[in-house]
Parts: sequence; structure tokens; C-alpha cells
Amino acid sequence: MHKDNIAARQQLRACADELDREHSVYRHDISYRQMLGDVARLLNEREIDARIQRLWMGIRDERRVGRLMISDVVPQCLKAAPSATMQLEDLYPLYSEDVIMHRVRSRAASAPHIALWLDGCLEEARSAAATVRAREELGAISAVLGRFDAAREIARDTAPLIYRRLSIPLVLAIERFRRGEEAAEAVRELEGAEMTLWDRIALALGFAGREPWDGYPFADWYYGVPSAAP
Amino acid sequence: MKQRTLPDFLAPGLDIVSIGINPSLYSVERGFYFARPGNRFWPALNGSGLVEPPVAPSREGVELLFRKHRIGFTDLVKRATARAADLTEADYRRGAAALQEKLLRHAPLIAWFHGTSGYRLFLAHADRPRAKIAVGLQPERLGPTRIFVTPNPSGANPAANPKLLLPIYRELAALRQRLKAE
Repeated sequence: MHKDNIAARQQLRACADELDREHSVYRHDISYRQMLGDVARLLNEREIDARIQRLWMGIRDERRVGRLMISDVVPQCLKAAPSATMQLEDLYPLYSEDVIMHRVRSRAASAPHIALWLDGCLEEARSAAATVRAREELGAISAVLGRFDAAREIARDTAPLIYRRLSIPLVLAIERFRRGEEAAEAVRELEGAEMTLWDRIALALGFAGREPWDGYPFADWYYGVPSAAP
Repeated sequence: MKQRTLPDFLAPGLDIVSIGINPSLYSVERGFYFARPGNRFWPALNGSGLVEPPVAPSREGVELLFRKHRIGFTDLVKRATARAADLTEADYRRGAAALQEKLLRHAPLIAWFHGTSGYRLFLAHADRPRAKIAVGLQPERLGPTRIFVTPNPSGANPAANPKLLLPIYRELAALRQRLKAE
């Protein structure tokens, strides 16, 4: 079995275990259940896909005993309609170094700190990175370029947004794994961190050779904004 | 016992009021709307032209949207729940009446519902049931307030692919611009 698959599966299994625990206390995390099912299907992880399908069936059982509002609140999710493969391929395309680097260079056109970083003017780039977001961008780009020590240093010095606590460490783990490190070693960046289901699913996608989120390695909450000022 | 929820961001004269079904416990624990990673609200908002420059997902971001961009926030039901099943008919009935009152009192240009299900629930519990609801501008009004529905941005909704969400968010931005010019 390819090591990429094993590493991705470990993360997906951890997610499924957590969803099982939540299900047992009647917490239904519908968003991540759908996301995990989709990703398991995309990565051809049938055992995990089957576990998620069983969880959906559990909700339907509850509905039959009278918890009717579920279907009114989230009809799309209740159906647990598997997202079409084309949609999933579109959401999580195969990792392409060319695409990623094109994205980084495009961003550099409107973000001087990134242009400086790419030119090797590291101190000037750091000075120009005045916001958390700009510093996170430098950290993420460093990881993509294989400058892991620089990425670690920036991660240490940057108080991340609550929304993406692990933005740089996740990119670091994925990039280290891509460069041949063992998964256990690569995820050392994340030791002690409280990983959410979203983090684990993103990691699994990255380990499986997919883009883990829109606009990787930049955070997805602003990617695609044409004139985004840092 | 104190109710677990997110605060409303409402004031007279807002451009837009964003309306979800009810806050998730996840968002309540983090203290701001659409806090769950994977939710497409923030990327779609930031790419839509509704705000410039991009607003970071955070408490401060929500406050900035409210103060600078005139975008408020509330919910159909204010009570946060772990399970959708915890919401009852009575929650929706009370919530729809309260929401209607808030919107009439503050009269934003646009009431922005996230998801056709949320708007359908609102209509049903405000005694205006309508079975078929499409995204976009709705035929109903609340006083002077137009009503606009976009797909639920939850990561669970396959239709919340950012490429599909962006055009409808841009339509909302264009509507705001048009209404402000009138």
C-alpha cells in the first residue's frame, strides 16, 4: 500500500472516530460528516465512506422517532447526497507545483512582501509584512519553497487567527510529507496542537496529493480576491 | 440560565442584515458568525465586492462589517444548539415573529437569508408559506426591506462551491449598489 494512502487514511479514521463519538452523544456535526464522506469517496476510502453512511442512517432513524425538524433545517444534508465526483474533483484538485507556484507569483504582483520574499530580500519582506495575514503568507510560502526553518520561525512569531490556528503548521506538515518525510515526522509540527476535523481532513487531502483547500497555500477566507491588499 | 448565542449586530439604516437559521455552538464558542473552517461565507464575501479590502473571519471582522460596511447580523432563532433537532416549532414561531419585528424596526435595505431552507422556515412561521423558493431576490418585502437569498454557505452544502457562490454574492453586491443609488 502506498504510504500516502496510509497517512491520509490515518487522518480520515481519526475524523470518523470523533464523529462516531459525537454521534453517540447525539451531536450531529453535519458539515464535517458531509465533508468527510465526500473526501473518503474521492480518495476511494470505502471503509470510511461506509462508516459515514451508517452515521447518516442513524439520523434517519432518529427522524423516524419524531425528530422531524432535522429534515426542515437541513434537507440537503439529510439526504446525504454524495457530492458529484466532478464537483469534488473541482473542489479538491490534484496538487500541482506549477499551479501552486503560479498562484504564489500572481499574489506577489499585488503583495510587495511576497515579491520581496521571492527575490530573497528576507528582512525587507518581513518588515513589509505588517499584518497577521501577511506574515502567515510568508510562512506558508516558505514551507512551499522548502524553507522549513524560516516557516517554523514565522509560525512561532505569529499569533494566528482563531479561524486558522494551524495555517502555517498545516502547510509545513504537507510540504514536509511531499518531500519524502515520514508522516509521523511531518505531523510533528502539529504535536500538542488541538486539531479540528477540518484540519485533519485538509491534512489527509494534502497527504493524498490533493490541494487541501481553495487557494492553498494561502488561507481560503480571502483567496480569489483580485486586489487583496495585505 | 443564560442563553448561549451570538449577539445581534443591528441598527437603523444598515445596508444588509445577514440572517442564518440559528448559531452553531461552534460559532458561539468562538464568538463570531460563520466561525467554522470550511464554511464558504468568508471567501465568498471577500470575493464578492461587498467589502474591500478583505475582512478576516473573527469577532473584529464581524464588528468591522457592521461599523464600516453597514452589514448587520442576526438569526431566525437566536438559541444555539448542538443538534438541529433541538429546535422546535415554538422556537421557529417565536423566532420568525422576533425577526420580523427586528427587520421592520431597523429597516435595512436588504435582508439576506443564507439558504432557501432558512427563508422557507421564516415564511412558514410568519404565516406566509411558500413551497418553491429560488436563490436571488425574492418577491416579498418587509416594509421597505428587500429580501435576498443565497445558498447556505456551509461546507456541507455541495452547492456552496465558491465558484458557484461568488456570482450570487456579486448579484447581492450589485443590488445593494443599485438600491443605494435610488
